Amino acid sequence: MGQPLPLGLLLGMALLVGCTPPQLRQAAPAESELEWFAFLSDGKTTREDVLLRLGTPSARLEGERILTYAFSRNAAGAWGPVGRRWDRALKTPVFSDHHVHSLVLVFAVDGRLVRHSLVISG
Amino acid sequence: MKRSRGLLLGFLALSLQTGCLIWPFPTGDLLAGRGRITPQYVSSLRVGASTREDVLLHLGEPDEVVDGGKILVYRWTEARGFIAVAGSYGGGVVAPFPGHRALRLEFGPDARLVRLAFERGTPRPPAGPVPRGES
Repeated sequence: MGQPLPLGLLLGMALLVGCTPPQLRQAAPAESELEWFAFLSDGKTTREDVLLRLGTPSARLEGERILTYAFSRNAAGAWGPVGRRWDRALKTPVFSDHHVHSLVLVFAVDGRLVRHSLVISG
Repeated sequence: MKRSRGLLLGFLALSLQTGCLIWPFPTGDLLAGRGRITPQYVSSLRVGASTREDVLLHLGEPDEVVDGGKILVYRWTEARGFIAVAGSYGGGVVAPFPGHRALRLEFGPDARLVRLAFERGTPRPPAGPVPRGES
């Protein structure tokens, strides 16, 4: 008969089984109160405020009306912008981290924030 | 067809070999992307009613923006199983079988959602990355 699989390998496989992949969901209010986002206030915050505080957005849609920022925690636990890497199988750039916070900001014609949300994976 | 049959036979043959295990069930591991999107999560989005703005606020930044935002695509890859091969001296290799998933949302000229569809399998030809500038 064949050689049995090493215990470590079996244990690793057992740990893999039953894991639930991260799912997209809306952030809970407490999760939305991160220091980075605390200044956001619908009807008050302007696009200029956002750009000065958060820098270059990761994407812009419908002109400048909708801006998105992608953040993740680094190894030290600090928040920072997350980049994308080219995924050969998906043939598209994907986020280099699975646990990404996506901040979506919608502005009115006068440049004031009208709606925003934080979508997280976890 | 012949190729996939040969691949299957190869896997079966490997399974009979020493220290090899094929686990043909989803493990729940995420191999690429931000996370799985479930039908339940997008059930609040309504074709003909929800706007691009609603979709973005609900799902966050898309992985692909096609035709200036007429189509948004969210992609992720899950492990559908794995093959584990044990070598001598306790060494071994585990390789997952990737299962590509996508959610494609199409919008009309009024920016309202006209189609929402989950997709499986190898992605279509690349549509280009999310533009850093204006889309």
